[in-house]
Amino acid sequence: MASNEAVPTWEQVANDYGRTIYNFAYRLTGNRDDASDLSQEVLLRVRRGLANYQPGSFEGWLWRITRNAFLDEVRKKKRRPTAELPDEDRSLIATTPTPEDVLSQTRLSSDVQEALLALPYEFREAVVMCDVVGLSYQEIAEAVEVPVGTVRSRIHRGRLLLREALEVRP
Amino acid sequence: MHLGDLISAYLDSQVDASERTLVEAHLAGCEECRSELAAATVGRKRVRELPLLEPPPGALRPPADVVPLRSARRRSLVAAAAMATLVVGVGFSVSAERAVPLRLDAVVDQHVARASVDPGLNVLQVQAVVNR
Repeated sequence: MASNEAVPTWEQVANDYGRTIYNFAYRLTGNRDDASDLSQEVLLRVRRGLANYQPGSFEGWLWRITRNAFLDEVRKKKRRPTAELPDEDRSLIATTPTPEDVLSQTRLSSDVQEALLALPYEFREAVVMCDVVGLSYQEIAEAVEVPVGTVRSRIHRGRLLLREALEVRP
Repeated sequence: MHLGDLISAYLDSQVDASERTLVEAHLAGCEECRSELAAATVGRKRVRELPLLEPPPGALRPPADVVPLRSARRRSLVAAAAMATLVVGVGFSVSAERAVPLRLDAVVDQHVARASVDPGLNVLQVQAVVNR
């Protein structure tokens, strides 16, 4: 969304970003229930926040709300997100031709999901914002409120750790 | 000196023209950085290949509809009321056979009140109320 556009309505945000918010939440939490709760919480906060939103960096604003909602949930539960077995096999969009393909695809993405959940939170967040949501380093820096150099470092170290984790568990 | 996190910035096209030239010149002569580039490329690719998931129904409902606690409570009240209707119906048919005078509205009120706090209330208990 361009920074000079008018303030979007809640419905536009839900429509344009809802699925991305859910996927962000899923990759951070690793399970559908927490991802659904978090998505609802984010949309509630968006609706409350839109009244006071000043047109500017919408992406930075939205993803700052999203990550803060996530961190609040984690604090509320007084635990770090657990590495539950991913259940994304129940909600895959892509249709794959054979059961074998489905199994293999699910297993492979489950490995990546588990490796993501094993990352330190700051790395996981940066990697997911970059490679799942598709934000630029600048947008991530705005959302997370750290310098761009920190974002760059987190993404790079996160990727190397992921690669290492996936190597020992092929 | 090695490239470090400039490698991921390079992969993501988050470098300017002069940084790009620097990275490419360095990579040409440094095997360690080439191997780190390969590792970062795999890490990046694996996350990017994750399937896009469809949110379950309700995950993106308008905020006004998001009242999980209240709706759960409402559901249990509806269930209790439905059960009360069924149970009172049974009690009524039994009592009608016995021609016992009955104030149905009072029984229903009393039973719904009890059923909402005690969903385990059974037919016999209701008959006892009806026959009282």
